[in-house]
Amino acid sequence: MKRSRTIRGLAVTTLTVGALVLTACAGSGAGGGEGDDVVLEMYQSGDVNQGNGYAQLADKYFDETGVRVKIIEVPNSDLRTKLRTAAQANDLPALAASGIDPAYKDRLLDLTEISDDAGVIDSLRVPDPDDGKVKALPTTLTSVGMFLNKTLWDQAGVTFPTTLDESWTWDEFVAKGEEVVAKTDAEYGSVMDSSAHRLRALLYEFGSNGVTEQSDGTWELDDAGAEALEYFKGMHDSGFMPASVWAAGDDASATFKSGRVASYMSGVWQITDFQQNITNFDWVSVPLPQQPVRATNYGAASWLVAFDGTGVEQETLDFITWLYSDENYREYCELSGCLPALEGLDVTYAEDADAFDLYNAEIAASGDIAAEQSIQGVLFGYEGKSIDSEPLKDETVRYLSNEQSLEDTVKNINASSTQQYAD
Amino acid sequence: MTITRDKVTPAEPAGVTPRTPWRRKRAFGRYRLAPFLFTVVTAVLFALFFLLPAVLGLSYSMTDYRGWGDAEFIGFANYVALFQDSSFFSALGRTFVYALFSVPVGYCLALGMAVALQSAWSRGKTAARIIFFLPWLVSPIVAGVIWRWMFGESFGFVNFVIAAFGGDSVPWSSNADLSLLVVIMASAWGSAAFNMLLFVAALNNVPQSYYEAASLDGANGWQKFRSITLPSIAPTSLLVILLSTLGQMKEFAMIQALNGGGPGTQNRLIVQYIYETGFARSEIGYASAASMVLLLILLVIAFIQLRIGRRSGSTW
Repeated sequence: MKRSRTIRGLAVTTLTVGALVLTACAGSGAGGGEGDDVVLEMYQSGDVNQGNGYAQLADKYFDETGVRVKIIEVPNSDLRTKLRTAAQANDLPALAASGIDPAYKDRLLDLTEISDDAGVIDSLRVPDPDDGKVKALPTTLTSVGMFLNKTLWDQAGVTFPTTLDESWTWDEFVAKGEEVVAKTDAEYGSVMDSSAHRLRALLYEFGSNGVTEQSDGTWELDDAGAEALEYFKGMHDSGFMPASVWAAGDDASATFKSGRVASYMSGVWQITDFQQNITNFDWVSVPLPQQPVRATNYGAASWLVAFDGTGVEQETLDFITWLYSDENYREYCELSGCLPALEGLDVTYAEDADAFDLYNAEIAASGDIAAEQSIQGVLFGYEGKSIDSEPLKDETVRYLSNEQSLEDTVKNINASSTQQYAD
Repeated sequence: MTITRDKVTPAEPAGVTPRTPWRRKRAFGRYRLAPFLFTVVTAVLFALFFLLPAVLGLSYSMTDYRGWGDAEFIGFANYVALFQDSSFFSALGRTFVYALFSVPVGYCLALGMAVALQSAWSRGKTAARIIFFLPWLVSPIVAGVIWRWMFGESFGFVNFVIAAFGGDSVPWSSNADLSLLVVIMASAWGSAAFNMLLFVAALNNVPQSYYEAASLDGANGWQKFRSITLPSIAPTSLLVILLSTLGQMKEFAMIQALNGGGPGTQNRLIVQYIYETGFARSEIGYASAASMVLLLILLVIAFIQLRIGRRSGSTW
């Protein structure tokens, strides 16, 4: 009798524990605010510096107002999925630095007033074409730029431009880079992040407008763009750039940090990282090469959005107003080492102010097209288009690894872009 | 590892103790309710975490679901599109090539390690056991990263050594076949330890008397291995090949960390393809259809291998 009872008891216990575990799984996650204490959840994804910047400001906000802002770091690749699911489950956070997605485009708070009061720079003030309301604020400004391993260039005795008063073409840049490789123990002349954002800057410099909408509603890459892609492949085929970064996903930043690559085409966000992590050589920010167009690719590092229906809407708006006040926003830029997206805001950087100045000057010198990618992303969101891949990058990778010809690459870029972007 | 060479002695028969009359009374509790209660937990978990997702996947595969919003029923359109999609077939083809090479390599490596550990003449067995077993403790992602560092094209260890001896660096990442070779080696390295354990257990169960008899007949080591060892461990071999084939067809984490399916998309395996369409491009319906096709392929492989096993009379 005793044994049977033990077995039955065991079974019941197992069942109960199992059931409890399952219920615990089901009922997780709390919304924006509950009880007396208001807690604002903010999803964001970025590097350590950006996250720290927000976290420090959140502490300051708590000290001043008693409202806690919880910064939740989400890996960039998961951010969209996470917010989509949250939107469906009606469990959105108070705010997020994420951009606009069709899944929640109708659940955004109006930020027009904050945007205008704070003085968001004109080119990044993007109202919803439907109702003219601004529903996304640029977090900070981000821009593509060129870094050199100064130690190698000095060692090789090769000169390079340092201000926008001077310039160099891509041909000159490649020739000089090759000279550095020949005269030093550098392995490669240059490396570029595997990203459409960086590639677009190259296209703009070749006089291309990138992939744009045509009069018949399709999307196409222009001839100058194709020429730039061919040039880009040439730099890989000649061994000037390492094939493994774009083709096999090697880390471009780590490759540059090895100290054996003469230059690195990346962006302003690297400065803080380099200040901390590059100790074995000197680096310097220089103007981007032009062929013949002077251009970078700039835009919002991310877009801050606030959600409706969280029960803490007013508190959220208060926090954003506070965040975008000159004083606090300046503090954020200084903490995170970012360029401000607000008009006329002077930020004093503790180190490498020259590099930041160069980026600002390069943005000012670039044409309207240079902010296009960033703005377009928001507009697609407003229009309910979900942009889930980057045909420009994906097809270029296949072109670089000899899977398709230039002609097919352009054809595929056009077809995939049209499929995604066209109405 | 303490594996004795003694033959397994059967458990004491239950009939030794005299049957007691009260045994019948508790028959219900012992043989109906308790097994039922135990299986209920498994059944619920199975239904919740396997059956439900499988049914969901199947139903998603017939919709244009994108991960949010409404899903519209579109019948077999996803499957039709899938069978016209050249990148699906190239991913599937590459997966077969990968399995075709990595399964035999992994099998031979695991068997070789097990035989070496069992051999009476080998020395330093304890150290070897630890070294052989270590890779199994490493997560596939970490294994991928380790091998990526070793075979890095620009600044990898192997190319460094080759260069130090005056050779030209080898394009480990930008040549598709070399890149796949690295993945095959890494997967054999990572999975050999587990298969080795299975083989060690099987080798222990081969009766020593066979080897003694063969020795008396003058058989050499290779003859004994071919005619005694291999046939005796056939059921384990089948199990290892089945498990490895299924495992390699589903390879994802390690190759993702090692070369991301590169160069380009030339080494993209089928699960990576599903992941990319499902999560990067948010075509959940389409990716579900691809998953269903993969499930079917895996079922067929398992079925064929089990049939072969049954025909050769081995059971496990």
